[in-house]
Amino acid sequence: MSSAIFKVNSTGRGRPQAILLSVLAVMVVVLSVVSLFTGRLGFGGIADLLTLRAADPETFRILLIEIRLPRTFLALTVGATLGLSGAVLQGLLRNPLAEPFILGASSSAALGAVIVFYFGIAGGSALATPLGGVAGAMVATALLLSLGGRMQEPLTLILAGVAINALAAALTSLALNLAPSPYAALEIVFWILGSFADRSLEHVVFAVPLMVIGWVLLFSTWRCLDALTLGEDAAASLGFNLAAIKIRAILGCAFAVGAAVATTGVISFVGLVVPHILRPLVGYRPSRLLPSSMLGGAALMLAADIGVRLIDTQLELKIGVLTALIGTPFFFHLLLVIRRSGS
Amino acid sequence: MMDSALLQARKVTVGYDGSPVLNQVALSVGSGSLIGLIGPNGAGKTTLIKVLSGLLAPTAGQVFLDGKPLAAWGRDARARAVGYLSQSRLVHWPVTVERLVLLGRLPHRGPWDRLSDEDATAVDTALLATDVESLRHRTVTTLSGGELARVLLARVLAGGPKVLLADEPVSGLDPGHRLQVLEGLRSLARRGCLVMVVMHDLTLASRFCDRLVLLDHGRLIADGSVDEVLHMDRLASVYGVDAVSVTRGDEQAILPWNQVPG
Repeated sequence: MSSAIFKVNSTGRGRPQAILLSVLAVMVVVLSVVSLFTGRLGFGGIADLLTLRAADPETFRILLIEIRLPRTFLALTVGATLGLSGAVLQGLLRNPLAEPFILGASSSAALGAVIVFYFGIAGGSALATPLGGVAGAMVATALLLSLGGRMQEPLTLILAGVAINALAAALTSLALNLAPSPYAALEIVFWILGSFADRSLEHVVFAVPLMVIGWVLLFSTWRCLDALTLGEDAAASLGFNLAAIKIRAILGCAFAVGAAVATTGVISFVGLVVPHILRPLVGYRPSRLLPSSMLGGAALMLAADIGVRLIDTQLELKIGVLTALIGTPFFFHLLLVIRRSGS
Repeated sequence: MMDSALLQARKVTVGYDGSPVLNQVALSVGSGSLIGLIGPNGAGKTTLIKVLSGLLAPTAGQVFLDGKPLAAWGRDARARAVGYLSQSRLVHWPVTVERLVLLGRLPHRGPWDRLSDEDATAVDTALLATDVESLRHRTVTTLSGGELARVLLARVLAGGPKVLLADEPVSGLDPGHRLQVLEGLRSLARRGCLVMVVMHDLTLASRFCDRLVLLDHGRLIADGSVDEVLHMDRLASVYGVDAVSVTRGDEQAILPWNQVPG
């Protein structure tokens, strides 16, 4: 068979794709290990931990299983969630600026979690808070797609996101205002800033299954995302049920982002930056971007969470603050690029 | 005749009381011909193409493909049988030409199927048929308007449809490329495909199409040969123009000349 497609597919593009995924996977594994051995006091080597295990097995168990492991595992899964949902939203809306934070899903999830937690709905149980986040993110994503489903202009969609963010911020302010005690209000503010510190195995047990449900729904859109390169009419003519795909994306984002935000607070821009960096490496194919963005998001989140523990500040820097500081200039850069290209 | 028709619209209406976008349109077309769908702006041409391709469900009436209601066709089966070329030439990501054309094979491939010989051959054939083989590895953002139009046509052809519905495939192209694309569509029809093309250019429509379907205000007002559809009275009443008829060899074309006061 002399067809160039086979040459390209078997030797030209297929292998770099496998290499990219392998490199990202190795990064995730290495960063997970480093994360497990990193504390506020710096990187404690394996030798230190082994000494601790010999000297004080109970402290070792608490440190590794109850403090470090949930933190590492949440950084990995939340990063994967943000990378994946950014890639799906960008493919679905054909807009490089689409991202759970910019589009208001994250802040709405935070609002949902705040309402459930601080106003004691369902007794403020460990599962109720993530479900509150899921509900908040679901309302926001559905509202966004009904407002902006046909918006082709990137900036118009961002305006819809601004409106949803503003609404979520207003209602969160109201919740702060009405919070039972000033301490509760302060706690909300610190929680919203986003962090993986002081999370327990219980958080992991309740949030991760919800995130996995979200991942499955998000991944189920992959073929249609490729077809959407040609626009909605062409994708429909290729046999895709766009209404069903959008519902799966809404529910997927709601479960994954809602559960992530309800557990860790708002972590911005990861879903924007990761797909943007990886897109040229997958030949701009939206379906190929999903697994790599997932791994890339996990790697970035693990690295950032190692970073906040190593940066020497009096109070540990919140990871949401770090990603916002790095992500905002990137967002400005993208806006300028889009304005210049006139699309 | 009615039963052997490949594609049929039966009393298709879109929209509600007042001024429906399509009003009781009945149409029956068979394979192997190039059919021009013409009419003034806002006549309902794009809506009819979308209804015929199954993208839009009619408010009333039905579309039949191969004697079976279009709505009863499975999505994939319908997508394999009917190719739709959108008016929009917006490609959202800078993929390669080859990748873009390969999207036309999506209805033929299961989610986990590797690329088959058949897929590769279909893409090769489509690239050759639209004369864009040399652009295979180019990124779509680097193409000229004419090249992109041909690449998008190749995408539809790669699906090997029995019915090709194209919404203004030559708008915005220079004369050379218009002729090239229409020659391609005509030869596709000669090979047995049903090709229906929305057109504004009456000169090209009259020169290339085997049959013309004229819509005005959502109604089908004429359906037949060029002579039957585009006679002078009708050009005046529908388009508000008078025209000259140009003949070369045994081919004839209508050339709108003056606006007439209506």
